[in-house]
Amino acid sequence: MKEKISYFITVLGGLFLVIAPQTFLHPCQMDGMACTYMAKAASLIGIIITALGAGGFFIRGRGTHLFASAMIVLATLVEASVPHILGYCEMETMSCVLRTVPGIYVGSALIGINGAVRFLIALRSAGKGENVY
Amino acid sequence: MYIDFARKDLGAQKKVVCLLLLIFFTSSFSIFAGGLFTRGITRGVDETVERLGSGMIVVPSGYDEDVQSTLFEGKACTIDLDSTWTKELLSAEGVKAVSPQRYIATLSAECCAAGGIQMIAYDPDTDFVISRWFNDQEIAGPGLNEIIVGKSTGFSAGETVRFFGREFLVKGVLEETGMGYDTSAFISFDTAGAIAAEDGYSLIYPSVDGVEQISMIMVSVEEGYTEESVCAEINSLYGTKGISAYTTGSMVKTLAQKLSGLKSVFSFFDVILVLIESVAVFSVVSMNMLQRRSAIGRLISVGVTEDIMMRIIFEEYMLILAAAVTASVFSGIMLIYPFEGLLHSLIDMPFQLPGPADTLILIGETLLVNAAVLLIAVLITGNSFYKREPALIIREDVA
Repeated sequence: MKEKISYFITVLGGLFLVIAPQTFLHPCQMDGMACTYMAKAASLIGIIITALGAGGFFIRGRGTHLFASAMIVLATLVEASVPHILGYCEMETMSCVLRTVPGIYVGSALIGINGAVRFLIALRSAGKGENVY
Repeated sequence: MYIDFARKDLGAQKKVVCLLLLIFFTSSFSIFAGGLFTRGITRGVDETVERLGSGMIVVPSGYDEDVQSTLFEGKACTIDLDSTWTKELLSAEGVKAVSPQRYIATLSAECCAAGGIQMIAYDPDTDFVISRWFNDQEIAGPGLNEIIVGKSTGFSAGETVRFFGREFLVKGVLEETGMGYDTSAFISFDTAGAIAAEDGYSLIYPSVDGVEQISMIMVSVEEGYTEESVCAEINSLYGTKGISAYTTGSMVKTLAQKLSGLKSVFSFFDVILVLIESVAVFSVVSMNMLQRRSAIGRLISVGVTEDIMMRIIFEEYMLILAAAVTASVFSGIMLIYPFEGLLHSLIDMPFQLPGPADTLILIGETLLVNAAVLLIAVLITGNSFYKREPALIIREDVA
């Protein structure tokens, strides 16, 4: 049950990362700007995170769950680094600085913490020889 | 010792734990997030008052709201006022010094990041407001083709930026003010004149009938005069000629009134919330202790005193409260700190989030308010419980 709640949070967070940068946390809509590409990349990785979270409901086996959790944490790290890699506007009154980038950071942090906790709990249980999941 | 006992006990009461977590989280989050918000505005307004200092601002009649929007909210605008007013005002009774400023909206800046910067040209020789801030940060005033920028412009000291087809060296970055100056850039009148001399940029620092156009005049008052009296004198002398004087205090007064209104709303909301929380906590604690009556009876029958019993119960609930406050503080920080700029742009008031010390005090206050509610609920419930039914409890256990 706990694992399902954790994967559900991942799916919700992933959907937030897919939808928010394109809708209510969008950057200024000017083609060719770094921030618009950054928002598109963030949404793309959000789709991957959502898929990983949804996959968690169907996979079985201790190792597979550990791997899925590790992949989710890794994906959130990539998501959080997207603004730095692709860049965005410098002025702090621009929409991408006010909305998109903080939204990506907050969403990534919540999913990342959730995934890391799930990974550590699963790892600890595995270390004790318990049959997790 | 009691903490371990409390932790084990909580594991067996998941529904009560969830219910109390929800109640404490809601209350703590509202108190903490609301506190951050109101303290942010208070800090912003305080900073504005300190930055503007005492004195007066003279603007073309009807432009006071534009100036307030520029100063407090950072909305770029362009205002024209004949520069001859500086000499005229200097001759008015009670006026000690005057310093002109020209405000130029820079929507035509040549990169996306620099869009919407409010360019402020000022006279370093007569200025007694802006230079003070630069001196505090040990930044020398801007020379020709040099610029000093606000913190939110995104520029760094030493880099070169382009405005109006001209390259400027960023000489320094002003500390965060929480007001319009964060998105402003400061240049000297010499630089403004040089820009205006180039083809296509005459509107930057225009002349009308040979008279240079400025935007506002900062006025300081001689000793022995009050700002209000000199302000009234200027308005009576020149009010019909197209200019109006405002004391900085009266400009900030609107902000103070808005802040006071906001604080009242938040305080009212907090009081109502704490009252609802008290009733909810009292109900949950009462029901929980009644449910655990036999367990408490067993402890009493083996010699556990009332004080120890109350302490065990209080520590149990305190663990839940600590978890809820931690979660609410984490959520509040995650939601408010990253979106500080967005909040600032939405509220149209100076805004500067509190520093670590103020935030810690706010966390302490949040914890204390909730702990007080909890303590009162436990004491009232526990006392009435022990006074009314100790014999019954033990009898039930023995039976």
